[in-house]
Amino acid sequence: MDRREGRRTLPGDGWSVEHDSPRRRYSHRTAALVLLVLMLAVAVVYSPRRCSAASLPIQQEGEDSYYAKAYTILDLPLPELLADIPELQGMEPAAGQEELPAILSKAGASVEQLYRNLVSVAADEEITQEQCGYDGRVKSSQRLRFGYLILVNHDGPAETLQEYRTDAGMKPVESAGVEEGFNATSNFASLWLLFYPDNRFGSNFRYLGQEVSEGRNLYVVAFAERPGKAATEGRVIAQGRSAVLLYQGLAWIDASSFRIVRMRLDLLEPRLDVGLERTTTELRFGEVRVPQATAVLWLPEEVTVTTIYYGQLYRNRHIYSNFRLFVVHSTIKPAAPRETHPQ
Amino acid sequence: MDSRSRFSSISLVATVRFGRPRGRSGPSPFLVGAAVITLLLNCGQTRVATAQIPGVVGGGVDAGLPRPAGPSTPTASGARRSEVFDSVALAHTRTFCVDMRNLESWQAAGVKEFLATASQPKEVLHRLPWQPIDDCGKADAVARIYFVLVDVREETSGAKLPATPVSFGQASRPVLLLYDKASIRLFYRAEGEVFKGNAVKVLASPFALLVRDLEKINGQTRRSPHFAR
Repeated sequence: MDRREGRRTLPGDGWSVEHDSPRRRYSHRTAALVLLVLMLAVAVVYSPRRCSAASLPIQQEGEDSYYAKAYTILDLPLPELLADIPELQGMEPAAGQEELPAILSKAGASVEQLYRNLVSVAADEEITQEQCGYDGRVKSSQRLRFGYLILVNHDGPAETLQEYRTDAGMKPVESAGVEEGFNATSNFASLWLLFYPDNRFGSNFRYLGQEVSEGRNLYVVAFAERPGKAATEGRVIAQGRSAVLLYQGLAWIDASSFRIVRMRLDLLEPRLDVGLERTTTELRFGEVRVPQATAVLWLPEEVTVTTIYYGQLYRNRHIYSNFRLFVVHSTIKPAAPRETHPQ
Repeated sequence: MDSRSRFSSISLVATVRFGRPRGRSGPSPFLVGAAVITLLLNCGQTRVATAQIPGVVGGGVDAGLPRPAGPSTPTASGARRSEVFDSVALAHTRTFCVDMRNLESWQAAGVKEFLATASQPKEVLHRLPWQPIDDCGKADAVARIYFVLVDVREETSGAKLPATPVSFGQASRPVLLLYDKASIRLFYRAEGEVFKGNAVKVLASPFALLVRDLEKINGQTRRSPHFAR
């Protein structure tokens, strides 16, 4: 240590620590206070954006702009909407939006209740993957069977719901069919959580009308996710590139139970940067009774995804069955006694 | 497909240690500042669940779409082609706009240049029986253009061109798509000629196919059955 300079030099590491001198201590504190003021100024500038719960971004930076100013299903005049979506033929159009808050509120309560009831389950999944020509004829197809796990964690700092596709040995299967030239699609079990009360701020909604289907009276509600605020998002991976997917679509809500019985999702914007020209997902949800589970679950029964990717038409159909409670059994085996080897 | 949900659980992330350096009577102002900033920046931050909520295309974070196998595949032949998905919609179209939001600025500049030159008398857009308008919210059809990189070696039968072109100006194929306003329906798709150099020259090719196809479907209003939805 060089006592005259009040400086201790650390050999070999090229930096030093000052101490002892009152003048230096004073200048040190002044510098620290100036730094503190600067840091507070930075914090004040940036904090309002982050503190607003309604503006928390989930999408990656820069991807929001891709969806900015998107003209959506919510903006379409009804005649054009009917032309675009043939499923809406026969719907009794709504006179206004007065009923929308009540429908969303009741559907949200129903979704929340169903989510609270949800437990981790295993199921069988059958996937039919098709490559089609423009004339709709199937050029090639394959049928795959997997296990499907829906793992729910209601505890912990964040509630989680994860889906896995597994092989017969319960090992995760990723990109099913991609190597064979088909499209891999997954993660449908919880799409209805779009209507979860705390997730609703991520979308805009429009009440379209009522429809009778299979003896049920259904409310038809259109939605479009809000760029930068969407509570749910998808992701496409294509040839090493990935892109966030935001959706617009329709939900058919049972007028008596307020359960979401059917959904249709389209891309908010085509993702031409990765060749994704169009994707439509149609889902049917149904009541699932799982042995040993006390409550009735609400899960997808059938999902169809139609995609046009670089001009090629793909269609995947997923059918779920044989739902059962997923329980992990673990056993603790006592350690084997250490063998002693005589020297 | 990776998708996530945001639930109501709030997690305030503020792990700050107050150091007490030797010879000082209180916490360092620097560390206090760091703590305040950490608290401010994390104020109200909702912890994002790792849950997968929706999934449509891609099948998990590390899964997804196969190598392109369609008409635009980089190894496809150089033949131009077009597909009419909805002849009724095309027959009813009177106005169209060109949405360039998906393009890089320099690509958009090329498209704008093309639109200006191709609207001249006798040029391809002049022959298109649709009125171009700027407001896509009022147009009957929304045109989008994107560029597919092409394996030039196969496209040009051994010509000395780069195998893996890297930019718009080297070797690409323009693709023209026509959508409804909300991008729910794809009416039409046409592929232009492969180019390396000035894209403006080849952008006319998919529009020329459109003009040809519109002439063909004149009077035909039957919707194509295979992808009506």
